[in-house]
Amino acid sequence: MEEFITKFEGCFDGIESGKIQAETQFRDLKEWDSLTALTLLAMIDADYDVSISATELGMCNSPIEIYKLINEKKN
Amino acid sequence: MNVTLSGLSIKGISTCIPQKLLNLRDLSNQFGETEVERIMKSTGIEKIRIADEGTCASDLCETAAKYLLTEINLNPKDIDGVIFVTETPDYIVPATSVILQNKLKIPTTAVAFDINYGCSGYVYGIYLASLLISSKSCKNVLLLVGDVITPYVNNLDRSLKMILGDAGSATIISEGDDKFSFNIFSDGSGFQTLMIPAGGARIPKSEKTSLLLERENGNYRTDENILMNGLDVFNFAIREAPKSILEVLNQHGWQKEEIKLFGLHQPNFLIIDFIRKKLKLQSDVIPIAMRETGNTGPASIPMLLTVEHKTLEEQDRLEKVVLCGFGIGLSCASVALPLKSTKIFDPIIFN
Repeated sequence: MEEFITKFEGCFDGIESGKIQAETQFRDLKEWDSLTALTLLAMIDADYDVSISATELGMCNSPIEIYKLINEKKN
Repeated sequence: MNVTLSGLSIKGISTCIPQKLLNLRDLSNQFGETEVERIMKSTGIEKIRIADEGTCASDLCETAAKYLLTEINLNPKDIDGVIFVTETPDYIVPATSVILQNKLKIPTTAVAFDINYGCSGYVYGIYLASLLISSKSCKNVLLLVGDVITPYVNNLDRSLKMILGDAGSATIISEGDDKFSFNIFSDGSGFQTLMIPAGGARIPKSEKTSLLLERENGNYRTDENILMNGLDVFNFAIREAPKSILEVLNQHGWQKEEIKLFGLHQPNFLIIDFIRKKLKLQSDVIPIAMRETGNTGPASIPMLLTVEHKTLEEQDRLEKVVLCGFGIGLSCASVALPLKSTKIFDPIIFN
């Protein structure tokens, strides 16, 4: 999970390290926008070999929810 | 669908762009400087070409065609097929290709038809032109591919305002000694991902469809404007384009390591770079050329070829080429073909 958070943070442009935690409501962050979402989907596809749709992403509000979704899809 | 067709050649390719340039930095007052710079950095697009009011995609393609026919010394009388690929025809009916046949003084004995496709449309056009040649229906097919899409983009929709541009192209596909391999993929379950909802028979234009409404991420548009769900288009592109490219390579008996040009549709830097990484390719074999034009939809592959042709010729990279378009439909189409003997010209400006 820690590794995922680091990668998740890496999708944001210019965010300070450690600002995002597992339960952070990332949609409330001013840095979150559609381009960040695009980068996040690309990271998940590349690093976890999982494809997440826009609708599925839209139902997640925190990194841990996305992490659980990735694991569900992998299994 | 996979198929290899032979007895073909591409004689020439030209493109035509409008004179008017929108510098995206000029939108800083409207969308905010930070946001504009951020979008430009991610998309790799700095300027958009915009057609003047009243200029249609067919006008850009007609200009590209006249220039190409003159430069390669081909008489319009020798053309026996006209294909116009566009999302923005002159009229609902008749097909614009027939109007272009007359304007370009192509004989009435020619077959002419339109194809309603976008970003995958250039490869679809080459495929259908190749079928006309290989079936002996035609000897020289004029493929015209282009959009004037900016009138359908709402000025308050920054997701598209800063991406889509206008352009037209002309390509001559003729009898020859080359063989082309195609892979074509269609998935209509995603038709709402990228579309203009109103104006057709399903949802006619009305007072309701002309209402300007706030949509996702603070963008505004009517149902008569083009919409794009960027995340789903992105997912489709990164899932299907690499598969399609590998499929045509396999079909054609080429290894990816021997290809010096993967000419991809040019939506934005992020998508192209991600497809490149998925295919484990070096950046020098996947050129990017939308910085000064934006995403020109179906014309983006010929635009890439005409913008980059001098470098590609100098570096001898046109012997084994893979082209791949993906987008509206949803659809994806790839072709493996040689372009070494093709005459490719710099883009010309529409006056």
